This record gives sequence, C-alpha cells and structure tokens, in this order.
Amino acid sequence: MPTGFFFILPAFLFIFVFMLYPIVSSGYMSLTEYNFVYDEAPTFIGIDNYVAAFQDDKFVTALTNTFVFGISFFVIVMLSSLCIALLLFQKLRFNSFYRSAIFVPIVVPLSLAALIFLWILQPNYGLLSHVVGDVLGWHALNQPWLANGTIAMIAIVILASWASIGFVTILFLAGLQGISTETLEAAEMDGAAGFKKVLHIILPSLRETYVLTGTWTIIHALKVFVEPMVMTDGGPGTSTLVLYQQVYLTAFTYFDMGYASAMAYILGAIILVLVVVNFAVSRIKADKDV
Amino acid sequence: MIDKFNMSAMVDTFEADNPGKTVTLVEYADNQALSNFALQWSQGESSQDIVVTDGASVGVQFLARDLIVDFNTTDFFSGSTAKDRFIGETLAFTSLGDVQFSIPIGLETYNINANKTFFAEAGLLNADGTIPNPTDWNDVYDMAAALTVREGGAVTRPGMTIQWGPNAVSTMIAVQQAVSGTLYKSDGETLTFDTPEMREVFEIWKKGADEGVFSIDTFANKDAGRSNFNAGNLPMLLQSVSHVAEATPTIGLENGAVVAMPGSLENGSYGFTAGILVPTASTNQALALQFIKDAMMSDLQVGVGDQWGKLPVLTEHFDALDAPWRDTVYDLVKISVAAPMYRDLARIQVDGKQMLQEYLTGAMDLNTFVDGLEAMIDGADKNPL
Repeated sequence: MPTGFFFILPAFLFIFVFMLYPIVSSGYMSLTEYNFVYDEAPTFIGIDNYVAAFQDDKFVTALTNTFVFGISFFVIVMLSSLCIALLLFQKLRFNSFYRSAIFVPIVVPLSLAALIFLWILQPNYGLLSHVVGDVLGWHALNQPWLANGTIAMIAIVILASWASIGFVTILFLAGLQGISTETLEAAEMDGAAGFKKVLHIILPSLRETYVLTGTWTIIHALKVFVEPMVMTDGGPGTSTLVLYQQVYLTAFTYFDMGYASAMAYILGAIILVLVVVNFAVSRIKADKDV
Repeated sequence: MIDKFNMSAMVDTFEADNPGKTVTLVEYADNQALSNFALQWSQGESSQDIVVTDGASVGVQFLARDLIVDFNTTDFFSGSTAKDRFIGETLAFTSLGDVQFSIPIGLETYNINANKTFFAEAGLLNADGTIPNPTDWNDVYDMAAALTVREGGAVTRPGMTIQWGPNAVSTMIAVQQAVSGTLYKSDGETLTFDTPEMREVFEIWKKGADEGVFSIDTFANKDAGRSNFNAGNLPMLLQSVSHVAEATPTIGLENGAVVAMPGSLENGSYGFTAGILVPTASTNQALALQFIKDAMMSDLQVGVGDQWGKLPVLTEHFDALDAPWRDTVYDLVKISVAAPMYRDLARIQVDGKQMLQEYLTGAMDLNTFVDGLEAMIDGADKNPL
C-alpha cells in the first residue's frame, strides 16, 4: 500500500465519518417516515416528505421568514462591512483601535449576545425602555418590543448583523490590502482620486473577496437559528420562526426525523443554488471586464 | 431541577445509607435531550438509571416501544410508598390505563399567584386582609386594571401576567377546565377550547392584552412574569402557583397568596408534576427503584415544598409542610386534571401557542383563531401510543 495513503487516511476518515456519512444517511432518512420513539425502523416513502413540505403552511412561513431575514442580513452586512473596510483602509488615527473594536463582537458567543439583547429589549426593566421612557420621556412609545412581529424581526437582524459585520469587514480589509500599491498609485497619477478611485479601481479589484464574503454571508443568513431561538422562540406567533427552528422542532420535539431531514435538505439545496449564483455572477463580471 | 429538588442531599443520604453505592447526578439542558436518551434506549442501552422529566406527561411516549419501566410491574408500591400513601389522584398524572409509567414528584397546579402589597395599595383587600376570589374573568380583568400603573399614557407596571409563552396551551387547559369543568368534547377524548365560556375568556384576554392590563412579555421570555413576580414588581401572575413560595424571600411570606381563578375551586385547573422514569435498558433497575423509594420519596420533599412550592406527593410529607398557602393549593391540586396524553401533544402545544399569540396581537380574529385551533386539534394524532 503506498505510503501516501496513510497520510490522507486521517483526513479521509474525518471527512467520511463527520461529513459524507451524515449527508448520505440524512439524505436516505429524508425519503423515509421515521419517528424513532414510535417506529421500529424507517419506512421508505420516496419523495413524499418533500411534497408535504411545500404543502405545509408552517414550512412555507418559516421559509419566507428565513428569506426576509436572509435578504435583510445580506444587504446590511455586505454594505456595512464594505463601507467600514473602506474607511479603515484609509490612514486614520487610532486605526488599530478601530479594527480591534469592530472585531470584538466576533468573540462574544452568539447565545450570550442574544440574551443581552433580550435584556436590553425587556419592556419593564430593559435598557431601551429605560432610555425611551425615563431618559427621553417618551413613555407613550414604550412597548413590549419583542411582542411586535416586525420589531422582533428587526431586532434579530440587528443582532445577527452586529455579530457578523466585524468578520466580514476583516475579509474585505484583507481584500483591500491585496490590491497592489502600483495600481492605486497609477490610478491617482491618471487623475482617479476619492470616490472615482473607489468606484473604478478599488471595488472592481475586490471580485475574489465578493465571492468569499458573499458565500459566507449567504450561508450565515440562511442558517439563522440561535438569534430567534433565544430572543423570540419564533414568535410572536410565527413571525420570526425560521427554517432551522422548524427543523429542530420537527426532529427533537416531534421526533419526526424523516420530515426534518427533508426540510433540512431543501434548505441545503437553496443555499447551494444561491452560493453557485453568487459565484457565477462574480465570474461573469470578471470575464466581462477582462 | 437538581437544586430545586435538593437532589444532592438525596444522593448524600442514599450513599451514606448504602456504603459502596455511588449515585452520579447529571443535569440535562431541556426536554429535547430526551430524544438522545430515547435513541440510546431504543438500541437497548442506557447511560441513565433514572431520568427526571420536567412535566411527567412527556414520559408517556416512551411506553410505545417499552423503553421505560411500568412501575406497576415492580414492587415499588409497597411499604412507605404504597399507593394509598400518595395524595389524592396524584398517581393518575403519571399513569396510562393500568400502566404507571412514571413516579410523580413535586405537585403543581396553574392558578393565580398574587402579591397582597399591591392589593392593599389599591384598596382591593377584604376586611379580613385576604384577597377576594374573582367570580368571573371580567372580575379578573377589573382587578388587573385597578392594579395597572400608567405613566405618560403608557403602562409601566401591568396588573397581571398570564403565561402565554411556550406553556400557553397549559394556561389554556387550566382556564378551560376551570371555566367549563371539562377539557373535552362530548366524545370525552377530544380536547376543545371552543366553548362559550372559553370564547369569552379569549375576548377578555385580547382586551387586556391590547390595553396592557395583561402583559405579553412572556411571548419572548417565558420567565418574564415569574421574574417580575419574584422581584416584587407584579401584582398577579397566572402560571404555576409554586411561584408564591419561590417569591417569599423577596415579597415576604405574609404577602404571597394563591388566588383561585374563576371556577377553579369547583372544577379544578391544570395539574402536573415532574416525573421519574426508569429506562428498561437500565442495568441497575433494582437499585434505581431503591433510590427513588428511599431518597427521592423521603422527607426531603418537605423542604422542597416550603422553598419552591413543588408539593410533596406523599400525604405524610404534605402534612408536614408549614406554609400559609398549603391548604388552598391542596384544595386546588386534588381536583386539577392532567393534560391529555396525546401522541401529538407537543405539536398542539407549539402550534396552539403560535395561534394564541397571533390572536392576541391582532393577526387573526377570534373565530379564525378558535376554528384554527379546533381544526389543528382534530387533525392531531390523539392516540397516546
């Protein structure tokens, strides 16, 4: 047996045990009816779970909410991160401090951050109600913030964006630092300065970074789970119920593993399609510019 | 739960009485962890010899594949734990037909926890210093409205919090039983909330929620009402009445009171207990039963009742309780009913909560809400196994 085989064996085992096997196993599970508390063994039912998902109001609501969250999150994170990265790319005083500060939310566990946001938004003793009511005197505006579906969704988007912008900013900064000084200096000599330089030189040079940040943000947008789970439990009603919550409920509260696997596969497929689209758009633009 | 049931003391006592035996306590995060246990049990193995569940009825599902022990097939119900030593119908909360799938521990019932301080301030106390029991839900609303504090037009302290979070269906069951005297349609099996009495309650809830008289902060935080009540910032809380005991260190023993919600003194409410399960795959079943009998059913339950309001299940320990609310709670508990043991109860709880919240926030009207609720229950699998 070639020696090389032993070098790749640990990686192969890791990928097989923790990635390939679960994917194949849950793929098969998604084609079965299987409640492991009640059923002795899975029963093969073909694509019935997939058909049932699109006829299930709860699934459609959760999918819609996931998209509402995802689109808002994607736009806010990509634009804010890019703008902050462009600012930090300038030679500002205390630049290192700003870079560290923007990165700090990354090290805070998301569940803990969600609990802190929950505390801030508490109607009786929360910081927001205190500021709005006691400090600003706008008592009439105070309300149980998270009991309003729209505000609850906005709060979740804000929390998720707060937690992610730092990381994506660092990725954009890395991309900006990869642009050669010669290119930037040549642009300036040709009269491209300020906004023009950003628009015509810097932004087009970040195509590889868009693929990376875009992919990362799409995946994080659609796999949202912790924020609504901790802050709203999907409520009020189903206004912040997202798809992974519905998958979690179906699998671990109703023990319906087959249907839960099918829903997770549908979300996985959607993420894959969007990532491919993101990659393709960046590639097409790159080819056009060559 | 380990702290509340004083389980460390149970272990210490048991280990001292049984040299060479070791009991290891492991806390699990929530009931979802049971799915992992069940997966292991279904493969004929168990890392646990005893599992305590929060809400005994969650255990019934594990009977389907004989994953848990039927205590009626053991010698557990003898001597100090003979069936006639258990209070009232306590054992019925954890049995299905002839099968005793779980041993109850810590009796609780849903009703109104009240803080007398606020009632005194609002001049709502009887001449003898007690809180008057409301006769109907309009009464409850009026009391809550009188106890609500507003500043600049906005509510700064609601009169009452009703558990409308993850346990909203438990609240609905409690109120339905109290106002209608039954949880079921005429077939005696199908849970219903479509009764004239309950429809009236829903309308009062909506009015109270709209006006801020009944707070809706439990939507996002199930412990919001409990935290406010325990902190002495809430006059009334409709949830497990164990919170009266829990709040005693803050609000004072003399200020905590249990107020019977309309109909509950005659018809009861929703009663529940934590449950003790023994997996059939456990290799230490005899020792597990001995631990439950000697340690978990010991007089340590008295302290748990006094401190946390989780009442002892054995009469001798219950009688040893020293709390002013003891008899009121007992009167309520002994006629309270358990949730129906449906296979789809978890779905009903999740979907019912979502629908109630949508109704209370105006996303649907009363008829749509009640019709939707009934259709959802009709479509649910109501077989226990």
